Amino acid sequence: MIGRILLATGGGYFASSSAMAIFCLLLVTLGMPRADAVTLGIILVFAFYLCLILWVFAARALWRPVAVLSLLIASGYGLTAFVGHGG
Amino acid sequence: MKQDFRRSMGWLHTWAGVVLGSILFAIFWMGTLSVFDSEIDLWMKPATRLAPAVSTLPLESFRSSLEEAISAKAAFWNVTLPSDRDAVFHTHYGTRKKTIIRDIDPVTGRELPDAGTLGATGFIFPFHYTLNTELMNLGECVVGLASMAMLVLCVTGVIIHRKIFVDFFTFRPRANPRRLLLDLHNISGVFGLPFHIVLTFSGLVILGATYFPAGVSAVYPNTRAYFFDSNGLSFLSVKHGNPGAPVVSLDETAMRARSLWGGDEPHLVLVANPGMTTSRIAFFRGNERQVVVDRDVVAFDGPTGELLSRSPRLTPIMRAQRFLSGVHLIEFHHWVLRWLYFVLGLGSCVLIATGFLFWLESRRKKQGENFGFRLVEGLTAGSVTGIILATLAFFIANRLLPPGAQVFGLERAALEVWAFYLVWIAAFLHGWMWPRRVWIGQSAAISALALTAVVLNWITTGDHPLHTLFHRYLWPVAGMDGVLLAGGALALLTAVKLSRRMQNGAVGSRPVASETA
Amino acid sequence: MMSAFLFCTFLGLLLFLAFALLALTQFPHRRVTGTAELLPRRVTQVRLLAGLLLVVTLGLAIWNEGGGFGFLLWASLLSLTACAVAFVLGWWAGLLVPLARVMLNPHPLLAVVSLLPGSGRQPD
Repeated sequence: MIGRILLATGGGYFASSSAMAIFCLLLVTLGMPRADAVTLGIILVFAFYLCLILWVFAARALWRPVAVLSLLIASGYGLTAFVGHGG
Repeated sequence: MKQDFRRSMGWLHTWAGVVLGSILFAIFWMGTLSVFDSEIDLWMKPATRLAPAVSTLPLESFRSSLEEAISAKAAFWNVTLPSDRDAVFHTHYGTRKKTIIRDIDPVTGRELPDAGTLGATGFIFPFHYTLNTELMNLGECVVGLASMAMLVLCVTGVIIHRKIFVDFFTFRPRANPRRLLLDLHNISGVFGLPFHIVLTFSGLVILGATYFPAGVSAVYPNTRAYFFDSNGLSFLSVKHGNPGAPVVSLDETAMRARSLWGGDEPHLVLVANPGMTTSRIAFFRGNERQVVVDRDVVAFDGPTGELLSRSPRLTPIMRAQRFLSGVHLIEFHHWVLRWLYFVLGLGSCVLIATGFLFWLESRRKKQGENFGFRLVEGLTAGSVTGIILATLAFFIANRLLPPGAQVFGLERAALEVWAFYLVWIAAFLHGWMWPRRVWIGQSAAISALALTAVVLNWITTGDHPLHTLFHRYLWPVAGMDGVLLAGGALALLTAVKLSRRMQNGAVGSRPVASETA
Repeated sequence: MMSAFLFCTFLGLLLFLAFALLALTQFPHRRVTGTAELLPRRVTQVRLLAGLLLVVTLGLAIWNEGGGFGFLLWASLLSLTACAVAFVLGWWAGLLVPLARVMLNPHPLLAVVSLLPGSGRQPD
């Protein structure tokens, strides 16, 4: 159970954080103003985080959330490392 | 499969509630009080209980305060203009070491005596989102975690509620305590659900850039840049400049801002980098007649008075965000809605408290003597009735401490906060040491303290409820006294009922009524 | 300010009526008010009427107070009045008995008119 709690709060947080970074970068490359992209990301990310938490607790086999979350985290950090910080 | 799902959701609901319920109660309680922050301020700072001025003072009458800020090398200086919730001016400037706030009489323009209190805007409201912890962003993070837990609790609560439509209006006041608590928990949860979810969600969105900096830094160099960009404050990102520059007439620039707004009045006037060659004068529009927070900031160059920028029109996405934050921050002036918010906020407090009490009541028979049970029982007492007692102690300390009081080198304002914490800790200890009579004792204490606060306000200021009711500008004080008296009466009723039930042998607990202090 | 207060009271009463109607289509609440159960057809009618009332009050609120305030007022009154219905059913169910009876009447509108004070006059 402790594993699930950690995965839901910590893993869920980093996964949604990465998802938000990808989402914002994508919107900005598609031509949306930066402030709009980030604000939309902020509004959506909490709903996403909530869904992740619930999913981690609801899933019967833990490996699926683990896989998806690590994939999200890796791609998010990979992308921001590759593109670099916006300025 | 379905049963399994429901069970795991039930587990999550129970333990997220028990572990984070105390923090959630503190957040919701302080948030509920913050609905009337200006009114509580008026109660705590009797010198500001002034009738509104017929005509407002010219802004240039604050020139001396601005000069003071310049000579103190302040990073910013601002003045808040009176509104129908707050009759006085507030000047405010911040140096690197501290911020200095002064209240100004709206008729004479003279400085009012320092009340020596943080008041609701300085203590209760910040407590609502930082838990008064300034250690890095720890307080904010805990509040964010608790808010996420609140969202989880709302969703799981709906999932585990077996008969949400059949039991929609079910309330059985004569049933056994456990059943009654569950009914109350369901009613406040289901009917208040839109309020719980919207307020929690919008609260998270307001601090979103703090909670998810990764998304911001993906496209911005830092969070500050996003903050400036999204609020139309980019004129603030300038170099420090050189000292010795003048600041042009505030009234003249204010007139130009007003004409840009089509006659609307500013609510706040900010001078950033005062006295520097790069100083900026900015006017923030009042926000009283709309839900959407749209300050429409107009900025001028300080030394020359040249118009620099005006906030761009809100895009649909920004508008949605500003609507959410407007719904949460209640900067609009609408008395009926403000009271409705207050009542709904109390409803959230009832929800959390009954959740705790239901947990206790369903385990009392089987594990009433366990360490874990005792721990949660004390925790509940401290975090529900305890924080109400602590708040009342804060008010009482405000009326009892003489002006300029100092103990152990602590200022008067800090002493009030200490009174709050000492009583709060005492309430926890009381809950752990004497669990059997804790609810009766604390409910009775709430009613006594509430009455004391009203009487002390009368003695120290002469504003008794009959007097305040007949003066329009004192209605906020009358309202606060009224709520204190009503809450006190309700708490007394609860205490009497509980002790009667105890004498009849039933170990029940029904301290729900005591949330309204 | 006074007018806003009166308007909200009016809105609250309408919403209370809507929720009371909804509650009184449910078996346990009919039993508490000591009235017979409704026919399924009537249940549908009453629920439709209550739904209509909810929509109308939203329209009224927005028309009178503007989009933002109107919606917030309506939403918060929704919570409070529903709660009030639950409390009234728990403590003073007797208050809702006349309404529960009217709902049984085959011609509820006529019944409401005859309940009004001064109903000796012919309703026109």
